[in-house]
Amino acid sequence: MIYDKTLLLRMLKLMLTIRNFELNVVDLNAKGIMPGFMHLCIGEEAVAVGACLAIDKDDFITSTHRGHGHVIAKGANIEKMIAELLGKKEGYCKGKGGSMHIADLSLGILGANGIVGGGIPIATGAGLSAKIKGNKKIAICFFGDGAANNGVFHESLNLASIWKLPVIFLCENNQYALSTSHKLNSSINDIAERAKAYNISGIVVDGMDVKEVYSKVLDAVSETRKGNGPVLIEAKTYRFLGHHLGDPNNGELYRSKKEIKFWKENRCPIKKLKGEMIADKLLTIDEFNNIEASIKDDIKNATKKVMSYPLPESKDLYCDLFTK
Amino acid sequence: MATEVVMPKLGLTMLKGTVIKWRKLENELIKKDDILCEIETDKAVTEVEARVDGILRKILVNVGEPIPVTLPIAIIGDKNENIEKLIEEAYQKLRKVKILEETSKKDKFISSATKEKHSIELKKQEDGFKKISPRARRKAAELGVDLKLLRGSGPNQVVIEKDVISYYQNHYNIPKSTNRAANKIPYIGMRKIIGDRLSQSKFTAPHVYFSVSIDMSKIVELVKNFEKNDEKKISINDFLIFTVANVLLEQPYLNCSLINEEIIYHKAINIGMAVALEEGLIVPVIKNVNKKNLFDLSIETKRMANLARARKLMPDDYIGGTFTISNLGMYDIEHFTSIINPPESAILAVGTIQKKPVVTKKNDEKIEIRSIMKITLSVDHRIIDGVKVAKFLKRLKYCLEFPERFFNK
Amino acid sequence: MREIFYVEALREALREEMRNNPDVFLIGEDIGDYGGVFKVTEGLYKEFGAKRVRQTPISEATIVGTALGAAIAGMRPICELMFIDFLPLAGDQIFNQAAKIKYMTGGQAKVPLVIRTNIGAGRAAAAQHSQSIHAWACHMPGIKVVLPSNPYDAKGLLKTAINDDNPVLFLEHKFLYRMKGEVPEEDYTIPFGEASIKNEGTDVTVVAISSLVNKAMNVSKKLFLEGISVEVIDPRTLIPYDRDAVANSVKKTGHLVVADEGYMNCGICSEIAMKVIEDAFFYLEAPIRRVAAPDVPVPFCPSLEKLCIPDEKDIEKAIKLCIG
Repeated sequence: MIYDKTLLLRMLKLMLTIRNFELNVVDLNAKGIMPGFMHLCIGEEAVAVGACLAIDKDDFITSTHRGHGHVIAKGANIEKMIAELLGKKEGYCKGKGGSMHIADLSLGILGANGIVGGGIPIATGAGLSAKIKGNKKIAICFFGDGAANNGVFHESLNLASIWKLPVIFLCENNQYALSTSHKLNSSINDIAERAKAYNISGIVVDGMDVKEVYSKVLDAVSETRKGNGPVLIEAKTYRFLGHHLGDPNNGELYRSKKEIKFWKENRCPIKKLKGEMIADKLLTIDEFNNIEASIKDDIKNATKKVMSYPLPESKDLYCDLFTK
Repeated sequence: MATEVVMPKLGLTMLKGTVIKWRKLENELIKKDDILCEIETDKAVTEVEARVDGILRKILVNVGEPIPVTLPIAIIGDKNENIEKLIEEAYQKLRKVKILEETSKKDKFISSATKEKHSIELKKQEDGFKKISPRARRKAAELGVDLKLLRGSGPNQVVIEKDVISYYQNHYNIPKSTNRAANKIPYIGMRKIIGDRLSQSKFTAPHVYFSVSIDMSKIVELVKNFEKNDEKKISINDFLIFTVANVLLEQPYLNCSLINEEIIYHKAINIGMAVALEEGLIVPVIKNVNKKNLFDLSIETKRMANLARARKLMPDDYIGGTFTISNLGMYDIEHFTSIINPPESAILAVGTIQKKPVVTKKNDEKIEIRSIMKITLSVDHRIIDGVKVAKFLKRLKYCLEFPERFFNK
Repeated sequence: MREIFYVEALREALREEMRNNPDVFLIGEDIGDYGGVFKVTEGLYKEFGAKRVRQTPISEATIVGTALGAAIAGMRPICELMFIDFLPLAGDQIFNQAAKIKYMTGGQAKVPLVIRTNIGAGRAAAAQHSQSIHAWACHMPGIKVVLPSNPYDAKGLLKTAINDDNPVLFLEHKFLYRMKGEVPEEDYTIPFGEASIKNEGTDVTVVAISSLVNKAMNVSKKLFLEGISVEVIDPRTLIPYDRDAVANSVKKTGHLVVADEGYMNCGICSEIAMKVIEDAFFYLEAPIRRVAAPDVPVPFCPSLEKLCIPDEKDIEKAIKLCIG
């Protein structure tokens, strides 16, 4: 497949945005400004970006508790995201949802989800709506290796298969469900193998290679849009930080220092794309640095702006419980 | 020797009774057959008489509290007897808390108590915490009534709103303005029972009415003849009851009741005979009319009417009716409709006998003056329909218009 | 006016709304040709086909979750849970997802989801098929809870539920399906949050839920002959709840009996009683009485099971405890 420069730049910029957004969260959290739990996806940027660029604005995604990357890749507004994370009234969810429940319905983002596997049936339903309406939309369902052992995963794959629903079940296998390794949790090493049990195709991709993710997802998307039913894609990846901010030493209680170091230094998706683009003479180091600096600036400015936003008032407590 | 007065069981089905008025006060002298109190059952109001002579030493139950039959309601004994134990036993049966100060003059059941008497008795509290409902408190605050002065008539002797209101009405000047508005009497007792039963009947059974005019001239003649013989005085009403019963025997379709989704055709023919009293209509029942001859029937109807007017009817005298006749002829009413007396399914309303010019159905039509009586039969259309009624009325009319062909004495 | 069965009234509501709006579809177990275990959906598969009457495998969580996803994506699904006892299987999708998505997304999402199921014991179906645990849903902000007691209310309320843009738990009663009642031919709906005074009275207020409304009515007729005037109120919807109607009634009568088929402890009766204490304490003459099921699992043996079903005698006893 030939990738044009525009697309590659877009991929790079999105991954850098995600990376620096997350680093900003680390910073704000360390300063005690950001409340609650943060589950960061540093290291997994390629999965979000490769997948979301392969679908349209109209298509749906459901995300997980580790959803900042998915949501940014689908086109969410950084300022509104930071505002939501800080619980501001101007946030995506008026401060009511927070990190784990960010959503932008206008972009087809049906929400990050605080329950492991919670979004899987919802994505199945979104696919069902597309099928009944016949509007050719599809849904990408992001979930992790942990969710692949949960009941709803099996129920949803089965249902999507028998009804041939346009859903791409994208498993982001970062090899650890909180502190338990995938090896210990799972009856099978390649989650994609489970596709056989549901009579659908299962593909393993290198989740650190944004181009591979993109091309494989694109293939799956075209199959699915034709009405051939769902596809299970497993992207092998790794999270560089702990399960959540506060996980001691970024997960060293259950992962070896050596392993973490290896992935950070040798398998970073941004470094990989950067290297490839430079090698192909599509990018210079200076250009890269400028891009990164500009992104860092944008995020810094957005953060500054958001800090002055108001918090929700007490009277807002009961708002948006029911649609009138 | 002190004895208990118990709540009497005055009918097969009676389970509870309520004292609505004490006619004697505590410590009053009682002679045998004196009326002690009035009790209300679900059928009527009855008087309870003393069976012994003595002093009414203790009244055990409140006015308005339903008491199961055979439980004690008062104690009659000698003036100086120690009845502590008897009271305790009685209260145990009634499951009440024993009142400690039984020596005080607690004449709480006097209907129009004076302020003095109340202030003596009510300073003494019962054992335990006096329960007052929130609603009663609110009312007491509103009316300015001192809660300490109240006795509770609610379940578990809770002071309830009506206790506050009745205390207020008995003890405080009711402003003249409310008096001027209307003459009020409470809708209670027999009136209420009758009223509620009538409502229920009217709203449950779809009433349909059939009227027919009857030439009673021959019967009128017969009655005149009997009048000459005083002992054998037979009234128009007696003829009516007798005839109706015998027609019902021939045509039993109107002698039935709808009970629990079953239509029961009664074997017995028990005719209720409506008697007007000041407080309302009483319907004593003549049982098995069809088995009586006209003279026995006449004796029975007189007896019942007398008992009714003397307020001496027993509950068993009102139950078991299968058909009712209501006669307002003596009040000159020409025509009216009655409400069925449940669980019966028909009632006959009888108007006055008037002399009227009629066209006779003899061979050549003539105008004659005859005694005409209009009757209207109300039936429950759920279980009785038009054709059957028509047949019945036709037959009844015939029997009354040609008694010579029908009666055999 | 014509008289039809409760089950027919429900079916009519479904059929009419499905005809009116192509976005309405049904999803559940055995609802196709089989017509549903209580025959509510009989004939609908024939008319609307597999596209809009979707019979599923046994996957409660995914049934509700898929319906939820479709609802968020713009459709109006009606999912069926065979018995309320199966509700816990879909617990996450109902309580953590459906009830909360509108709120968590700051109002962005609209959740026009109807979950139909049934309550009630009496068929010797034992503990796992005989419950009335609608109190769980009342304890969850974000779900509306509807309980029709007769065919007229059933049709009107179901139509309102289908057109409501919020998650509605619609609770039918096993023993009411064969109840006949007057239902007009013309179209009508019944609003939520409006109680129905089934019988006016002056001595005691009885608030009854679902099938107990009819039992309370029978008791009121019987007690009328004894000179006791009973006011029977059917709230029809527990969320939203017409607390004013009940409070006004108790202000008039001074006495309250609440009857519901759920378990006694922490049940519906307690909440209704407490609201009356808040609104009308100073109008009460006696303690409020609750009539509910004993706090045990429903036993199999019919004579024991009977003890777990509040009946007319229980209601009458409670009334007499109040007024003596």
